[in-house]
Amino acid sequence: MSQFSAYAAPGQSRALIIRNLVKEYRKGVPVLRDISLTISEPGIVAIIGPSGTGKSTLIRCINRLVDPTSGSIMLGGTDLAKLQGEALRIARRRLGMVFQEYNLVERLTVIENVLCGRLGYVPAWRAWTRRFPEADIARAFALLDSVGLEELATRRADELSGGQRQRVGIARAVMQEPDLILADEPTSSLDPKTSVEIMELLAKVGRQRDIPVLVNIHNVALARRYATRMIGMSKGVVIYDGPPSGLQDSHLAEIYGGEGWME
Amino acid sequence: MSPVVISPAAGLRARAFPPNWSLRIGAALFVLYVIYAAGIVDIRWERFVQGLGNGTRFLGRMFPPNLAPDKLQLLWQGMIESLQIAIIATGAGILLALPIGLCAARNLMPWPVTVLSRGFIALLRTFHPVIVAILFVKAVGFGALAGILALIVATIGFIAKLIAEAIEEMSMRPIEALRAAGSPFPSVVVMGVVPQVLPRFIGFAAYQLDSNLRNSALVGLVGGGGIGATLFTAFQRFDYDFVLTIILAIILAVMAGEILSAFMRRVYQDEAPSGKVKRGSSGPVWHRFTASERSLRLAFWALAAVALGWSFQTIEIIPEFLYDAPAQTVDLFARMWPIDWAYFPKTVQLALIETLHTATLGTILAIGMATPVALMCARNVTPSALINTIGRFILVATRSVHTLVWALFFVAVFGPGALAGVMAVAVHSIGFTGKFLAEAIEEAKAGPIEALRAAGAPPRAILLKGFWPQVKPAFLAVSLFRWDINVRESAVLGLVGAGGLGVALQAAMDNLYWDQVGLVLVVIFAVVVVTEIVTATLRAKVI
Repeated sequence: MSQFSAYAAPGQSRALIIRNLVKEYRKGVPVLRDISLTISEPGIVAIIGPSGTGKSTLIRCINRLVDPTSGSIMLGGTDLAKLQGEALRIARRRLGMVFQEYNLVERLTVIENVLCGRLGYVPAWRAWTRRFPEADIARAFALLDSVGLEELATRRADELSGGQRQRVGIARAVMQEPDLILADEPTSSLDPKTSVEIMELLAKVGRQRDIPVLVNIHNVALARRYATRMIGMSKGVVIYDGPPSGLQDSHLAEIYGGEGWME
Repeated sequence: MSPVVISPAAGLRARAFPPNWSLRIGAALFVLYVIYAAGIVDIRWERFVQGLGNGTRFLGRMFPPNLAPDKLQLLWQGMIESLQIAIIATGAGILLALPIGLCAARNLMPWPVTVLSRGFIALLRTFHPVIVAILFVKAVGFGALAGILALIVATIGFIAKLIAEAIEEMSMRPIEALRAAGSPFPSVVVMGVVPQVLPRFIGFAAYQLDSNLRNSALVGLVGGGGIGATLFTAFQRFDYDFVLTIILAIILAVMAGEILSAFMRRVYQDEAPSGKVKRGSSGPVWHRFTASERSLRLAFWALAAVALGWSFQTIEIIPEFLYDAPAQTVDLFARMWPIDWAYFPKTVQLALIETLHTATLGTILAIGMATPVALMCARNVTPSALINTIGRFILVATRSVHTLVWALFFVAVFGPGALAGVMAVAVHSIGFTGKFLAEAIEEAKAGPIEALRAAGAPPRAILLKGFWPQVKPAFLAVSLFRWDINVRESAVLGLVGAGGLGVALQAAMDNLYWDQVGLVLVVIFAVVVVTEIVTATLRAKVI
């Protein structure tokens, strides 16, 4: 229970403030058009919208897997959009990320994959010889326990099912002690039942660590069920931003286009 | 198609089996080429028959192998030195190859770094180890050091290229995840790259160890120390019974090397850690490996360290030569420049043509001889374990003896010239070509074969219609790859009198005309580059 909150960050402002974010992969063809958002509330913030609308690009701009063309991304007083090299690396330690395809190191064990979340903090020689600090190892096991995988700690990641892998992916992100978790379509490769369990887990992590969890998701019903806030995007702009209860069919029609699919 | 279509079925039949004119013309041109090239390298029936007579006499003088104590003493010294050369070259070469290979990986490094590293690797790979050894012998003097340096160059060229390829083929997803978690670059390499690349790396490091063992016999032929020097002396003194002893010893050593590398692969390759979690007093205790796995690994590293230490301790290196080396090298290249273009039309052009024909004919002959051996080895074609084993022995034996050693043998049989070169290239290539062909045949799907067998097809038809269509791509790929290698090998065969560019190289070196040596090296460089482009284009087209 206390595992997620044990390392909660000190009470500074952890709001993520995005201002006028623009991303063009090709010049003159913006994927993100002037996005401005402020995210400070803990729990799941779900981003919905059709494929190719820039949801992934938005998430990846935040931790700079994609470099924004212009705009600012403020977190805890620093502009992530301007960081380079070592400063960027230090900033990324506080941004956990969960991927659609889990992105585990297949040939490493589950516990090694979870400990990968500490790579930003420990020197490379410790990683190489697997001499992680004892506190890290203890916490990794506790985290595995809390996602229900303790029995599988020494199994190789490629032996796991999709749902199990995504739990490892979430444990790895939490291992970073993040101020914010980014999840890029974490349920898109999973069956409906497992998808629910993963969303449940992400919501629990957000609650217990008291941090925002920014989730890209295609399944609107699932998003409504777990999100405290929903952001609807279409063609690179925000169409709806508010509580799930306020999201009307008219919004959905505007986000996804047409109405026939809703029947 | 014919203007009058009698029935749709006839039209279909005509379209199902059209005469393949490009294939027929290709086959005719191929036969014409073989006749023409055979004329150029002076392959005639009477020479061949005469050679067979020589060969019989030669083999008679080889048997029984000389096992006199003084000879065995020489053999032992030579083998030990070769082993030391191989160990040092493999150890040092791999250590140097790791960072270079990493720098050449285009998915991890910025492009200026990869371009530089790739250029460097290509340069190292251009020249045959024998030519590199010749240059090092001039720079640091006769002996083991020149051999070690030459094999280090070869090792870096091979390993760094494969590491770069392995890294470029790995999945980038985990790398992205580790970067997103703020991992510094060394940690990304250690936790993201190494686990993905390690199994393949172990595979080719093990291969390189036994390849260096084979090649250490080679560099000795040109003064690089080790068993090669012993072998060359024995040849020059017509001690043919001792030659056989040495060759048998080399084959045995290479086989031992292959067993060792297979063991190494088993210990390391599939690194499925079976470490357990124990409940310690202060929480769970985790080890990556079990105690016995850890001690096996420790023993392996200890063995490697001891082998390296022993090799460095006992190998004979004259330090004065080493201090002198940079100056000598600069002097060597200064004498090569400007290169003597006048040498080209007189000698080098003919030698170049001879080299290309030697490589091509040798490859064709090798394929002809390797195909039946491959069929003998393939368990799904030949069910007899005895015949399988005989086939495998032929493959290992032909491959263990290097082309240049075969060339020495065939020069003694057929006399100096390109015929000996063609035979040497052909016989040595049997092992490589046959091994890959046998593997391709064994990988053929059993379904179509069973279907043909069930329909009562005779064995010949099963080979032609069941196996051949499945094996064809691999067959073409292996032939092309081998031709590429053989062009490089043919360029140095002349050093032992088997024709081609090597003859021109040897003549220029004997006369100390370094500007002519420079010219031959430039020509070899150009040929290798052109061959590489030709094979890459053909590969893309054919396969």
